[in-house]
Amino acid sequence: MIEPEGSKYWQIPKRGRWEWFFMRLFFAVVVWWSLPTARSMLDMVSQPYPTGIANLVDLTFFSNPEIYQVVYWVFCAALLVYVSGFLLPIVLPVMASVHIGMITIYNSQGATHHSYQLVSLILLAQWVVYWVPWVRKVFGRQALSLPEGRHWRDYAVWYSLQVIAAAYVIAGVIKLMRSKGMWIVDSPNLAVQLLKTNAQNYYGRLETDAVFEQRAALAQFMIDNPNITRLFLGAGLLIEIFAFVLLINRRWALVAGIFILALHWGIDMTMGLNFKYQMTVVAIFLVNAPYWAGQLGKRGGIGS
Amino acid sequence: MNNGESRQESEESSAKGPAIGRAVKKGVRHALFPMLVLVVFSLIVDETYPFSDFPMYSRLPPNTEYYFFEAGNGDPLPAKACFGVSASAMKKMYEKRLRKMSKKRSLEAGYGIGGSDLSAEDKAAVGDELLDYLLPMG
Repeated sequence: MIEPEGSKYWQIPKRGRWEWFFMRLFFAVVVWWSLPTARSMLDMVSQPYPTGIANLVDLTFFSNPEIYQVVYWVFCAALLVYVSGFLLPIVLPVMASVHIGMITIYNSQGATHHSYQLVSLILLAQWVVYWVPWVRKVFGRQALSLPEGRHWRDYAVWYSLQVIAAAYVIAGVIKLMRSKGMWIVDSPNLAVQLLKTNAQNYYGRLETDAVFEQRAALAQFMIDNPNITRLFLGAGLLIEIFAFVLLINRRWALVAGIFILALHWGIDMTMGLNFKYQMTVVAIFLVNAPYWAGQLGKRGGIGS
Repeated sequence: MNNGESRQESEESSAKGPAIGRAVKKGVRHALFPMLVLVVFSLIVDETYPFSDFPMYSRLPPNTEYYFFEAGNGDPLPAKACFGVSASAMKKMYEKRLRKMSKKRSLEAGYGIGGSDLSAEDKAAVGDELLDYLLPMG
């Protein structure tokens, strides 16, 4: 296991038993919430544009209502055991496999949705962390000795944070790569995307949504004030690129979490894109309110 | 090259060797290393669920397009109500099929043909294929 050395920064924080419990509890709710419903899986009778493991395995069995019901209840039972904290090397693979399997077929219909990756990747990361010692034991290798006072939960949360940091950094880097470094310069063009969102929302239901007029007015503002637009959208890009600072320590994670939530709120207000699962995951692992509430209660102020 | 020079070079290279090794080891053990590996891996594998390079709005051209359905009499149809998919998802589905068709035509022609350069017949065929896929969902 990676154990950064040196200063008080970039260290793997120790996680308390209750802190890890609340993270598991809230995260289990997000995992359950983000699982496609039986109704939405009914239409997944083919995988015309397979992605991920759908290239190797036919996942259309998830669209069978009887199979879905069985898988769903096994999944729910695994979630409850996960919250309890027992048998994590057994329940995490179940949760991750079902979640990744169902969303994989959902994303194999020719339209890629980007709401679920973070939840699936965190499940995958926690699965790997809890399987490292278990697999070594199965293959007769010497057990990994954790440093004094360390628990596997420290690493489960740490690698969840790594996944979150990576997701936002990727989203920032890809903007610079694909725009050949011109993303901020081009950012006033987002106005046409706002108008496209308005049109798409209208043609979805043949009615305008609640913020149709405001979105059109914002698009006009962006066109009329390109430099102010660049300033605001550039700030958003910086939040993504520098999301890795959340790994510095708990305080940086809190600050980065608040900035990322503000970024998502802004995207929701303007583009109407609600990344509710990402926002909840960021609130759970970065903002980590139960931990800070505990610190406030203990010390009468935010401690280190 | 005399013996003195050779020994000096050897000492320099052996000092450099461990130094590079230490730097690599330090880098690999740094807190950012797993994140960097995941960033690079995701950029390489592109959209391979659950990995993604999160390309939404990564390019902001000055123009864009959207698609909608029309009934035979020219009236627009609500995509969500008719097929259970949003107009945004429908656009992604259409463009994915368009890319597949342009790849096919590029291979046949031996040079690159973009989606917008496809013939009206090819675009209509892509639209028909999408309709065949969506109609059972209605």
